[in-house]
Amino acid sequence: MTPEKQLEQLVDNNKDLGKSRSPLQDAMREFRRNKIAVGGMVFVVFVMIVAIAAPVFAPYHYATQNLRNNRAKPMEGYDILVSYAEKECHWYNTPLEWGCTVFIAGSDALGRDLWSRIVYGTRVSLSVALAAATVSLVIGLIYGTVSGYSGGRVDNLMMRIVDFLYAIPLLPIIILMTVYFNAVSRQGAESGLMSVLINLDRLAGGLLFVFIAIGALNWIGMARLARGQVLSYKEKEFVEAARAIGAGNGHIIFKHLIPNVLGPLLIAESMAIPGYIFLEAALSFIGLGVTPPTPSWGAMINEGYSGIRSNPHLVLFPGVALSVLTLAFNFMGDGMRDAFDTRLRGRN
Amino acid sequence: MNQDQALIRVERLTKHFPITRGIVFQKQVGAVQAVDDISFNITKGETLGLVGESGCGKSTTGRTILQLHKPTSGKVYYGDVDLTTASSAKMREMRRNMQIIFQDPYASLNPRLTVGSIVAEPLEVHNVGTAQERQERVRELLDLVSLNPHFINRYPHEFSGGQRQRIGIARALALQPEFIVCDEPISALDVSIQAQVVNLLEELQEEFGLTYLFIAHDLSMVRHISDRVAVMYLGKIVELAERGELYDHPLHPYTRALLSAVPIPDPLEERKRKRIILEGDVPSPVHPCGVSFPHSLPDSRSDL
Ligand SMILES: Nc1ncnc2c1ncn2[C@@H]1O[C@H](COP(=O)(O)OP(=O)(O)OP(=O)(O)O)[C@@H](O)[C@H]1O
Ligand SMILES: [Mg+2]
Repeated sequence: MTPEKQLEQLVDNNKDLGKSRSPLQDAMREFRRNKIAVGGMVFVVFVMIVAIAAPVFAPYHYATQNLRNNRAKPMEGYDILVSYAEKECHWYNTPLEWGCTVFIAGSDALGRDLWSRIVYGTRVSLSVALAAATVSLVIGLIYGTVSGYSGGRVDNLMMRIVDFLYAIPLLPIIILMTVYFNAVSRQGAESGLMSVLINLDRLAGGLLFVFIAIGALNWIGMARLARGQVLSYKEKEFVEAARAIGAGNGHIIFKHLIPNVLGPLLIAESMAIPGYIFLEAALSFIGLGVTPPTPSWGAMINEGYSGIRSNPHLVLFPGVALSVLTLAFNFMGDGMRDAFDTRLRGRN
Repeated sequence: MNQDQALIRVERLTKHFPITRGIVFQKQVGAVQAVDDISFNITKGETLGLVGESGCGKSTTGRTILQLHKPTSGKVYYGDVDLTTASSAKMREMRRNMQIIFQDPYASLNPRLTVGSIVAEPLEVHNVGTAQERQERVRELLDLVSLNPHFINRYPHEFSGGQRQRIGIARALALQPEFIVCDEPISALDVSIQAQVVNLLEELQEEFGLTYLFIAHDLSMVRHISDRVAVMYLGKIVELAERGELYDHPLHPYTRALLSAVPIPDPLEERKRKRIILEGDVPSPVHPCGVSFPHSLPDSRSDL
């Protein structure tokens, strides 16, 4: 072999030297190996698609009533006028037209198609999950990072405030606030903060207080987690190295601390999401969540449970939907935790 | 030594870490006297070795000189500039001239950044050049520390300890500093790699005329690299001498005890070596009883 040939081969062998996997890519590879977690994620993604394209997946709007056909059993035929179906049914004139005349999952006491309401219900559950996660993540991250990075007296004070809030039973307070707010919003308000809130609430489909409640209940844990992480990372030598370079606080926080802290926080959020979905369902079940006719699975279970003997499907289907979605989020969260926690890697 | 040539002048430098009690109302109940009234100079181009056992305040000394810890009292001069009273803008400017290399090559590199961004960070912070020029400079620096410039997009976890230490050195060199604190740069490395890194540091010193404060607890390595050696014990410098002088005629009993612990690379000599075993624990740095060397010690002169 000539020297040139050898050199060429050497260059060839080293071609992939520049290729590299980031910690994120490593984690994604680990995640993909976990079949259950991938299954959970696929289901969550599917539910997201359903939520976005709800009119495609549901034959009727969630509020469309057909009083002649209330409390229909699943797959029970439908006694309606063609003109009615033509006007109201999303599936009319498509290959799925049969769905316009059959209650796939039965109908509720007002003759609303249960399947359609479950499909639209994904929007409620997912928007609660998204909003509550974002709210608690942002507040928790900012509060915890400021507290941990400042250290000393400021940290001490901020953490005592958190301890104090933690000791107050927030849920009853939020329930009281919701009751008050609902009473006021029924009367309506012309101006001021109340009218802003009422309009926001209308925009959020009556979910504003659910968002606030769940965010307020959960940012505390996130703040504590973020603070702990910041405390441990700010003592690391790479932060000291940045300081030795002359980097300012902003640079250190945004370039060194937050990227390292965000990972564990996102994982904690993904593990907390099932709880958010459940809490929304629970609040709606006791009548404090969404305002009718917004279809929340918790509210649907509430509406159905008085007739559970004769019409179990009214409880069963929303219940199953709730459980399966929560389970899927759980599997996904567990998988993410395992994938990102390098200490757990290599087991099983 | 000539005062005018001193690059770094440390005068009566003291660093105490407060010990506090209480959760809401904290009150100070004492202080760790990590560095206690030390003075020395470092001449331009020389290497000052700083040795002493774990916890005696070596790292604190290095970091306080660089103003990473605020000194409790005392002065640090870089040339004519008093670092302890410099404004933060001035200090930022001064940081271009002085850098630090850390002991733990695993903790000193941010795991979320690529090698390229780690080495480019000093350049970014000081707005040196365009992105293109910075990239070029990073490749140059990696080459300088004998790392393949192709590694630029890799992450720290893909490297060995020795390679990581080289990345740390490349980062320290990015702004072409004059003075580098080497805080036990080889203690965490395998013996086979230690010599490589020390040789690299020596080559760089020759090439760029660097001045080092070389911290270590291993006397043999310090002997190899240092021009002068300072021995530290419980926050104080108990002896500072030219390398040959210190190793041949150690004056302080603690220095003698340290030296007696160095193995001799000759089996016959090694067998004859007598270690001076210090009795009892190192006194707590919280109440060092005002004595610089309170250990009870066998009569070392007859022992040696
Ligand atoms: N940030 C800090 N807060 C409180 N005490 C500290 C802090 N940093 C160091 N100390 C204390 O100061 C003393 C000196 O620590 P230092 O890290 O300087 O020792 P060292 O000589 O570098 O030891 P080693 O060889 O193990 O690195 C120790 O008693 C340590 O506990
Ligand atoms: Mg140290």
